[in-house]
Amino acid sequence: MKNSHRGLNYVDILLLAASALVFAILISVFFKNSSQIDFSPKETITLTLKVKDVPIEHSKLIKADNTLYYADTERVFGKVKYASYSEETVEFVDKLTNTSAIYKSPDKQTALLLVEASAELIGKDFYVSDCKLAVGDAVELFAPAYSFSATVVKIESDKE
Amino acid sequence: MNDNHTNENYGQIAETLNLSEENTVSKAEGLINNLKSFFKGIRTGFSQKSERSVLSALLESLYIKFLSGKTKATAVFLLSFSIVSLVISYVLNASVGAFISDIDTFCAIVLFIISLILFTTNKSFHSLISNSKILSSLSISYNEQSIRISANASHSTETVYSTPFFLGIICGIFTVIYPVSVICSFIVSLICVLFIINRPECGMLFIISVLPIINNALLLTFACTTFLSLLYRYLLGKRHINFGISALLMLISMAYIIIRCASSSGNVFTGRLYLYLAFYVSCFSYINLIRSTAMFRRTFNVLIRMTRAFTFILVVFYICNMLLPDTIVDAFLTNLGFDSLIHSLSTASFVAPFLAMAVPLNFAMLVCGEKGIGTIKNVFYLILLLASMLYVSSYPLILISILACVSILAFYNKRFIFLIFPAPLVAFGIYKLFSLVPEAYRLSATAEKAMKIDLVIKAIKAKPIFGAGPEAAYSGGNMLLSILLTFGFMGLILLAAVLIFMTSRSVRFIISDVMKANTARFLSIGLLCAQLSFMSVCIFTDIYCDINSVFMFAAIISASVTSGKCYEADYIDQSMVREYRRK
Repeated sequence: MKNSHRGLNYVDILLLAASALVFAILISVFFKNSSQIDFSPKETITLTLKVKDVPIEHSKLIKADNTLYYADTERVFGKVKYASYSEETVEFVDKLTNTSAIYKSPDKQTALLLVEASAELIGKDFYVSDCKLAVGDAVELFAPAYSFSATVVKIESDKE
Repeated sequence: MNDNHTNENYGQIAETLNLSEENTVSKAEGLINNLKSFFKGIRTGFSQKSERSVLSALLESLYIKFLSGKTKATAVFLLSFSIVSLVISYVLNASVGAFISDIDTFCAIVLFIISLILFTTNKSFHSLISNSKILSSLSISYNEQSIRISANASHSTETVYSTPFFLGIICGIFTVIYPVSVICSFIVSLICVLFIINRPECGMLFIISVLPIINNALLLTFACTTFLSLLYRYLLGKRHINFGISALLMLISMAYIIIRCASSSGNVFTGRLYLYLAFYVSCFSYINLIRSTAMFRRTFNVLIRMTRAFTFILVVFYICNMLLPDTIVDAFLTNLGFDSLIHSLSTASFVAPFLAMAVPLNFAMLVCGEKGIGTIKNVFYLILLLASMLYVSSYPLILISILACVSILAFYNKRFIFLIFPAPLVAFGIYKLFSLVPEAYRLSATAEKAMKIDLVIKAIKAKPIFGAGPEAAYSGGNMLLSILLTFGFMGLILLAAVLIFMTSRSVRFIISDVMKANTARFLSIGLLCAQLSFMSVCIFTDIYCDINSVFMFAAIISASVTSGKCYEADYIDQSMVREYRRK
């Protein structure tokens, strides 16, 4: 009896919008960048990045499969292949006060590290021939819940 | 004569004032009544429209059909899915030379085995969930009559096994592009969303139970779905939302954060904005969802089980890290797809507040929980918690945990209050003992504090009232400094106001004479102590750089706040009862 009066109304539109939103988020969470087939031509480009200003605890978060973004954009361009850490004295420029300070590592707990991460690029925008990245460019490295600023120090291609 | 005249005048003025006051009150009352009737009209209209809504009926029938569905149908789905995906992985490896990871083959084999197990039983999902201790604690039961009717109706159709069979094949074909594990996780998430849409309480329980191991984006999705589902049920008149002072403050805080982020020059949609909003949205949802003693107990049980399971994992992880070479455990968990779990296990901003919360909770369970085997179980978990404290050997954390336990004991018996004096010494002793463990195996809870605090203070001084905005995301340090830096004193005052208003009800219940020395009161005390120790840890750890910690904070605060409310009134949510009666 109830079903005979059913028809589309504004509740349907609201529900449809909410369901579509949740569905779209779920699809983007699961299927974005998880394709196991590489549709791009076979050329592996390896970036060597320098990640600065990272305390030990946070630097441990940089691991294989962390995502790389262009600086100040949300465009993904690669994933970290491996990360290695070296304890060094690094110059740290504070973005808030625009002052620079040299950090030394008095002990392992407080040291700021120089993290080198090698990354494999994805997508056809990044061939060496028309690579949009150059040595010295700033990129963002995204580990779960943290974002690290990095600088490109080396670009290598397996076809060169 | 003059005096009389003056008195008369005063009388007249007083009368006029009284009349004007009465008029103002009646006008205000009238305005509130008008508003109430306006919103009631909206809710009634929405409810009437939803009765005739196609999508609303579809979502509900999907939920009932899923619950009434037979496990054999799922077995057919899993069988076709696993066989197709195994065949595809073999063909791809042999012909194209594509690399299919061992984990995905392993997943397909596990699905195949599960399907064979499910073939041995022909129960409905509803009875399967009811019989399972874990699943029944996470789901809200449904009217069994509707499920029985749906089950009988589905029995008569021929599509019972053919539909899941073809669905399994379609999903299997998708494994050409996407890994089996991703497709499985997607299907499970869709089922969770279906449950949350129909029962928002499921969302809350699910989030609390899996918050240390789940992906950040998924956590946010489930939290938003829970919130939207609560709003939808409220508009239908099936749930109640309490618009008290704390809710009002939460809305003001949310509005302030959004406006502050929108007015900043940088990217508005930063991680910080989501973190702060997630906290308020979760708190608002949970407080309005825990509206009965039964729901409170269920939430508490889920919270306790989550703490125990994570403690166990933490101890195993810690021991494995000590025994095995570095990164082996990390690599193993990463391959299994547990990135978020590794993050939770290896981040002090999650582990430190977690331990601060878990110790008083489990201690309260030991003091007031069941005796006999229950006591042995509680002691075992407390020992595990103590062992996991080795991992985050920090003096403030140990001291806070001990003080929280002493507070619980003091409520039990006032004489125990004197234990507060030797507490710092005992904490120092334990800290020194724990320091014997090599530093390489330990996670420092105070490492972030080493960042240049004077620069942070300088930045706060530059913009003290409204803060530097979300673009000045100061990662690390402590929660107070982080809020001050990002949203200024306004942000901090609003958060403090929300917390104070929410906690006051719980405190009132504990100090009142309504229920003296009973289990409910001790649970409330345990929750309050857990909440306070969690907040104390935030003084040296920034939880607002970790979404899992933010959700844990929302869960513990909501449970603490609603404990007093539920037990004091000991009522059953009438709007929920109405929904059950309607079916």
